[in-house]
Amino acid sequence: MIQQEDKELLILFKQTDSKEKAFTAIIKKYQEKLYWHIRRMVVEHEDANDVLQNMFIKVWNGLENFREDSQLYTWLYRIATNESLTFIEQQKRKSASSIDDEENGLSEKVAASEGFDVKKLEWKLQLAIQKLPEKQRVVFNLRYYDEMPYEEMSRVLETSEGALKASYHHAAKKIEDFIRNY
Amino acid sequence: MGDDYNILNQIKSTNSDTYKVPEGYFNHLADSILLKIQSKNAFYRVPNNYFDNLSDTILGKIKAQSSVETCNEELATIAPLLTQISKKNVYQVPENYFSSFQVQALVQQKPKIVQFKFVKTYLKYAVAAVIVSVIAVGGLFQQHNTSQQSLALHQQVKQIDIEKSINHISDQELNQVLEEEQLIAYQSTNKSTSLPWTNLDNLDEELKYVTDEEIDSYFKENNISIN
Repeated sequence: MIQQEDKELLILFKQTDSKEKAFTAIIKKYQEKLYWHIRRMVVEHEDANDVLQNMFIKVWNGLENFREDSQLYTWLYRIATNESLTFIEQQKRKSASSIDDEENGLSEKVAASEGFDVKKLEWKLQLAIQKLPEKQRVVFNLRYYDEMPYEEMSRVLETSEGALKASYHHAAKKIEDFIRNY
Repeated sequence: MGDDYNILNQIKSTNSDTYKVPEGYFNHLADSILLKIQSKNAFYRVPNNYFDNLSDTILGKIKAQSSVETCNEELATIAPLLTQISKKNVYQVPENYFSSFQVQALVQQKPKIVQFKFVKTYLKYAVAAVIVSVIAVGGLFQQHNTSQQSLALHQQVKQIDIEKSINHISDQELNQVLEEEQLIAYQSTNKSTSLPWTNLDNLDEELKYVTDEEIDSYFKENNISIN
């Protein structure tokens, strides 16, 4: 059942005179969580900003038809995830590179990030995450950083809970091995 | 004993109300207390359906709490090293990014005002007829001063039946005319819907070689209604 606050925001959004105010409130409530979810996928702030902008445009256009059969944040996370994956796909096509090169490309972006310190475990973790396949990366981030229950995650990613659990376990082990050996 | 009695009498004889009380204090006490109670309650408002959704809200929080504990326990089982790593965000974010975040496309979007000029039916047909006439004869009229062929064609085209006139003109001759002349198209008030042809400014120049009688006759012969 949708949270009461979100339900009220949706009602306000559907009224012409309060539509913008409700939309602003939704942005303020979820922007940080969604931003970081996107940022961990695309690494660079400018790219994350672009994806976040596109994501909220889709929210603006589609929110009136939101069926409220899931939580609002589930729906928002789904859009953010799809936009991030679409962006990464577009970047791949632009560079006309292989998947391996794309992983290296993101790893390079991590290494080029402000404050990067290869000696710190947190940065090694970021490098390791970028080595994962895209969808596994999403699963890992949602579970590890957002601590999202598998039940919610299955609604976001439209995948079974079992598959998600297996994917997360596999990802966590790969990351641990990477950090130990890096 | 006598001194004690005197002291006691002295105390009794003095005004028992040693402490001062504001005038009318007790008269208004009940009212002021009630007012304070009412004003306190006015701040305590409960959102609509608060109690209806309270159980779901609490259960949700309990689930989330248990999920966090499960996440940590899960990680400790599958990848213990990761439990030692801080989950803080390592990437930098520009200062005030979140406080000033706006969806730029929506901010810049202004309602498009599309102006439609509703063209009356007769004008539409008139323009259509003009276009047909001009395409067929416009180039010919331009040419007639310089080309003997054009003159001959011009003579032919002066006949009302344009279709028959065109039938006398060879494809080669028509192609030559069209290549040498600019096509004139009707341009709507909204430039975005304009046809790719240009040079609408020459329309008047072209039309002056087409008489009103010719246009009227063309309408009649082609059953074009202008009303």
